[in-house]
This record gives sequence, C-alpha cells and structure tokens, in this order.
Amino acid sequence: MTTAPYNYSYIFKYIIIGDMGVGKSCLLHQFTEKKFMADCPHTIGVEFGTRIMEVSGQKVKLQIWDTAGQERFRAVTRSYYRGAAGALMVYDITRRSTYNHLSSWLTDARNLTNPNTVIILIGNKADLEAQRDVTYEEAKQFAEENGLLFLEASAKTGENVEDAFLEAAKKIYQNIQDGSLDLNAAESGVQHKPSAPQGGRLGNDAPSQKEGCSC
Amino acid sequence: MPTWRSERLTECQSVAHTMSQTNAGVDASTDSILLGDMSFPHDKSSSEQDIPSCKDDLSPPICPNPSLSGEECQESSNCLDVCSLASVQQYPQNDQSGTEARSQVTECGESVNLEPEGPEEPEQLIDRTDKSWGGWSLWGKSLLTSATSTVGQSLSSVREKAGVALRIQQSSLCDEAEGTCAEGSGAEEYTPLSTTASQPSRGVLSTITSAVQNTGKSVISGGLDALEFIGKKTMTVLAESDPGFKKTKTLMQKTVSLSQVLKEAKERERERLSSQLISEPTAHYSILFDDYQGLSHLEALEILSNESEAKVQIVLSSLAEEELDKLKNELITLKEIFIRGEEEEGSTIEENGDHSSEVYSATQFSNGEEFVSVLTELLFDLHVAATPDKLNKAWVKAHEWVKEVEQPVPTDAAQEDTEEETGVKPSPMAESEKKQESDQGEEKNQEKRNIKEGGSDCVEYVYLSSVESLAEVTARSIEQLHKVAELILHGQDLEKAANLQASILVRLTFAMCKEVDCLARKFSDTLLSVGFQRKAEELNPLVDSVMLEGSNSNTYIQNAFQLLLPVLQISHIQTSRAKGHAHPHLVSTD
Repeated sequence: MTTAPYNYSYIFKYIIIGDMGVGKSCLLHQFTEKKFMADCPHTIGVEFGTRIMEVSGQKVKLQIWDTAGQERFRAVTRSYYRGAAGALMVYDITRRSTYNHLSSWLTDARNLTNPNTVIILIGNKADLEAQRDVTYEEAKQFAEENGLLFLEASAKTGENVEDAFLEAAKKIYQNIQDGSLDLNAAESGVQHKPSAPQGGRLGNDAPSQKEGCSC
Repeated sequence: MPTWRSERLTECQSVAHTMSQTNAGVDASTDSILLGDMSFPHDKSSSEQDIPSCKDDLSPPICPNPSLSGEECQESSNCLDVCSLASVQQYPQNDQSGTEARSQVTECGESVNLEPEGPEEPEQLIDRTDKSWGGWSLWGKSLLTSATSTVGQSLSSVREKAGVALRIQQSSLCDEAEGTCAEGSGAEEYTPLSTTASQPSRGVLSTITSAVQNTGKSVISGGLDALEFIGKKTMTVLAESDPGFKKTKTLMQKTVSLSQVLKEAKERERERLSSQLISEPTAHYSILFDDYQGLSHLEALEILSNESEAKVQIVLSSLAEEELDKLKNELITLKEIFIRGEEEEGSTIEENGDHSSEVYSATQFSNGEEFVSVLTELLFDLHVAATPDKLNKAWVKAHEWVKEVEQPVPTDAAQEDTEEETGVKPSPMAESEKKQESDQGEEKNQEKRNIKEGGSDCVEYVYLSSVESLAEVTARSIEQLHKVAELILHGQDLEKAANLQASILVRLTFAMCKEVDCLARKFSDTLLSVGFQRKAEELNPLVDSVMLEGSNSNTYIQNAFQLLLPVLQISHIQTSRAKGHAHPHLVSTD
C-alpha cells in the first residue's frame, strides 16, 4: 500500500542561494526533516533534498539544490542555477553584510536562470529578534522593487519555512496554469508527470512534447 | 565493464553478465515482442536492470563528447548497410542520418576536441557534435542490429522452449516513443541546440529501452537455460563484430547522459508503482538510487563535466599552433591515464610505484573497514578536502546487515538493534543525511518487518537489502566522485599535478568498483545460503538480479569516473596558465 511516495504530478527544481552561514542548509533540513540542525557543516558544492508537497491540490516533488555559500565555490555553484523553477535567496537578518550582498546573488539568479524562475527572498534567523540588523520593512521594499516574493523565517523554530517553499511552488504552479511558464521550454525547471497513467499513453495527458516523436 | 570483472566471474556472474550483453544487443526486431499475461514476481527488477545497456541513445550533451574514439568509428560504415536495412521500416529518418554519419565517420579521431586540425568555432563544434551523434546512434543501432538478428532467433526458440505465448505488438513501439519524448523534457534542459539532430537517437532510445525491458521479462520468465543460451549467443555475435567488446563498451559508456537514462528508468518505475499496490516484495534499484540522491549527484557531475569540456574547447580554440600542440599532448596524457585505468582493470597499477599502490592492493579484501581506510587514504592523496563519510557509512551498513543475517538465529530484536546501531553513528557530517534516510527507510523497515512476520525465511529480506545496499553504495560512490570534481574545480590552486590526481582517481574508482563487486557476490552468497531450501527457479532469478545490479552499479560508477576527465583537464589548464604556461606538473611519472 505504499503508493504515496511515488505519486506526484510535477517535479520542480529549486535552488537555494545566499551568503555563507545564513542558514541555507538548515532551512532545507528543517523543510525536509522538520528538525533543526544545530551545527551544520559547510556545504561543499551542492547538496540535495527532496520533498513531496501538495500545491494547489497537486502533488509536487520539490527537488532542491542547496548550494555552497562560500565564495570559493561560487564558480562551481553558478553551474547549477540552470533549469531552476524556483530560487530561494536567503540572508541573515542579524548580519547586514549578508543583506548587502543580495544584489550580487540576484544578478546571478537573473542571469543564470530563465525569466520565469520564481525568486523568493528569505530573511532567516527571525527567531533572533534581539540581534536584528535588517528591518522587515527595508527587505520588503527591496523585494517589491525587484519583483520577489518575501518572507522572514526561522530554520530554528520552523516558522515560515514550510511557507517559503510553498509560496514559491504556488507561484510556479500559477505560472503553469496561466500559461506564462511554458513546460515545453528548455530549462523551465518543471517536469510534468501525470500520476498513475491509465493505459499508459503519456502523450495524451501531458499537454506537450509531442513534437520530436520518432514514430 | 567486461574486462573489469572478467577474471572473477563466477557462474552466477557470467549469467548476469551475459544477460546484460544480451540486452545491449536487442533491437527493434525484438522490442515488439511482448510477453502476454505472464507475470513473474520479480520481473520488474530484472527489466530495470537493463538500464546501462541502453544508455547510448539520449540526446547528446551540449558540448562535444570528450572521447569518441577513432577505432570505433572505422567499422561503422561496414555496419551501415545492415543498419539501414533493419531500420527502414520503423525508422525511416535514420536513412537521412545515415548519410550524415557516413560523412562524419572520418571526423571521429582519437578525440573530438583534440583533433590535429586545430581550433574551431564553437558553433561548428556544436553543429558537428549533433551530426556525429546522429552517426553514433546509427552506428550503435547497427552493432545492436547485427547482434539482434541472431538473438532474435534465439528468442524465438526461447519462446518455444518456455511455451510462452507471445504476441507481437507493433504499437508498443509508438507508445514507447511518445513516452520517451514526454520524458525527454529533462534532457532538453541541457541540450537546447540539438533538438532536431538528436531525434534519431531518441528514437533509438525508446526502441532499446522497451526492447530491453520486454526482453528482460521474457528472459527471466524463460528461466536460466534460456538466459544462458541467449547470453552465449549474444556474446558470440558481439564478439564477432566487436573483438574485445571495445565498441560495445564505448557505445555504452560514451554516448549518452547517464543521468537521463536512469531518470527515465526511475520515472517508469515510479509510474508503474503509483498505479498499483505493492503486495509483494519488490526491489526498485532505480528509485532507491534516486532516493539516495545518486541521480542528482550524477546530473550535477554531468553539468560540471560538460561545462569543463566547453571551457577546454574555448581554450584550445584560442591557442596558436605551437602552444596548442603542447597543450594537446598534455591533455592527451591525462586522457590516456583515464583510458588505461579503464582498460587495464587496475591490475598493473604498481607501475606507478608510489605508496598508494600498496594502499590499493589492500582492496583485495572484501571487508568494509579495510575499504574505508583505503578510501580515506586515496582521497587524502588527492589533496582535495573530500571526506568519504557517507560512502563509508553505506559500506559499513551493507556489511552490518549481512553479518546480522548470517548470525544463526536472526530475531526481530537483533535486527532492530543492528539497525539502530548502524543508524546512529554520531558523525556530525552525516547527521542530516542520516535523518533524511531514516524517513525513507522507515517504510522499507516496515516492509522488512512484515516479511519477517509473514514468512520465517528471510530470502526476500536479503534480496531487498541487497538491492538497497547496492543502490546506496553506488549513489554514495557517485556522490564522492562529484564532490571530488567540485573540490578540484573550486578555484584554489591545484595542489597536486593533474596526472597524479588522475592516477589516484583511477585507483579510487577501481577500489569502488571492486568493492561493489565483492558486495554483490557477498549478497548473492548470502541469498544462496539463506535460501538453500528454496527451489532453484525461485532463488536463481533473485541471485541473478543481485549480480546484475552489481554489474550495473559498476558501470554507473565508471561512467561517473569518466566525467571527471574534462574537470581535470580544465583544472590542469588553469593551473598551468596561472604558472605562466610552464606546465611543470604534467611530466609523466611512469
């Protein structure tokens, strides 16, 4: 009776980017394991996480590429942006420098993904209110100016972590629904798989990709 | 690959081995043979094992493949006739690519990128790659076709032998092709420029995939006799047209993005699973491999490899003749180390004479702990800060459960204990991984418990654990190679000469492959010992299946290893450029 883990209709590729130590891996860990990882080692290159969640009534598998924040890996991690449907751009609300570097991360995200990639700005460590160094308002404004979704979250308490991934997924799904995200396009970052195909004629359910059949 | 393991092929192995050869040799003529309503408890796993044999047919990567080797191409014109004859019916467009291939044949030198003609424009390179891909798929088809004509006959006798009613299903080909195209979207991600040219290859993919799956089913259903028979036939046919299986090997290795093939296999498996309830123990290698993030790491490694290859091209095309020759020689030296490592199956590694060759010889022992120390030392020798934590853990886990099963009276409690024990090795590095796994593992543990409760013997448990361990160990090995690639590329100065790193990587890969082999044999021995009361018809397919997964695992690891070549090449170029074109490091030491 274990059908659940294999039953999803879409795969979205996500990337998580941002300065070293802002808590990217912890956010991912909280999201996939619902636990806080206290002493998280530096990520080498990229690590992966997956979780299936329900988005607007559809089962979606999120395939998350958690990139290294260290500058020395920047050249390597840039290679991984391609084909992301969603990007989580993370800064640390208690360290202003991580916020100041956002424009550089945003430039990379814009240049290396496609125009439809949904970018959500996440101010992590929201539990450390006493040490806050970046106000909610200014970050909100930055997000609005750049057309980003925005949330403050805490990988430690789990606050808004689920929502961060979900909001981006909803936006991506909405883009699919209203046609602005073309599933046929190269690097859309989305794979559509009709779950439990009856009779197995994939081409009929999938709205796409009939061209190029060699039959 | 054949030569890698050949010396130690046991009876079981040779069956599994020949089976994979069979699958490589099956083509359009057999793919339409579908098994009727005959079902077999484990036929699924056998069909999914066939993945590596069809990895020659997905869309090409965007940049030229580093190592199409010339000798393989030379015979392709001989095969063209057979091929076009065979493919006219179902693949009319192959004729077109056939002519393309004909004109491309001469262009396949020792290496696409290191051609003596000198630098080319990037556009031309991409264009040419597309064409030669068409040629490759065609060539691949031709080799497979010649094998098929014989295997096809064998199959028909198998049909009679087994008394199975088979029906010919022409339409299945079309369905498969549609399915593949839909799934091909992933491939498109990285090959936006090659859509038109790659279509023939994709056609071949679906053909081979379905052929392989269906054949897998028939073969298993037909029993071991049939399997052996087909295997021998296929080996003979392949050997006739391809002495030493060199081409088959290359064909299987070089011509496709492995992660795409595996992804496709996994998705098929998932779809199948999601449309049916699991009522009996089945092992899903491809899904488990993905659960352990093997696919993701492989995909990421492919990205790095392709980008490195593109960068190498750019550098080569910017050099003047003299410099170009020099650099080309250096890059070829690197490549030779990789090829030699593959061909010599590591048996003469001592020639390098440094202390890691002693380390290397320690891998003869199939013992988790010893492997762990070998691994650690080799990685240390690489001078990249890669730690083999996860891989070690997978290895230890694999050995632990075998040990546990071999204990005289395996009780539920003992099993729980061992799982607990291996599960909570307190390594901070592995912590997150562990937790990730535990969720995935929970369901399987449940399954295992059910088996334990349901039946007193644990053949199924051993089988499931074997496949899972192989999937995990393979995924971790590939992750390890991916990490090495990332660390080599991470922008710091190369601390160790690229050719030395290459030699160490050869050893590392060989050690991994050898251990996978040992594990697979250990697992099948365990299966045989736990299942001694079972009928051979029940037990043998499981044993074969484990050996086959072991052999496939080996292939995946070696594929991942080959992806490291461009990474080392660009790393070497960057280092030597930083040192003012001195290239001091690339002096061959052996």
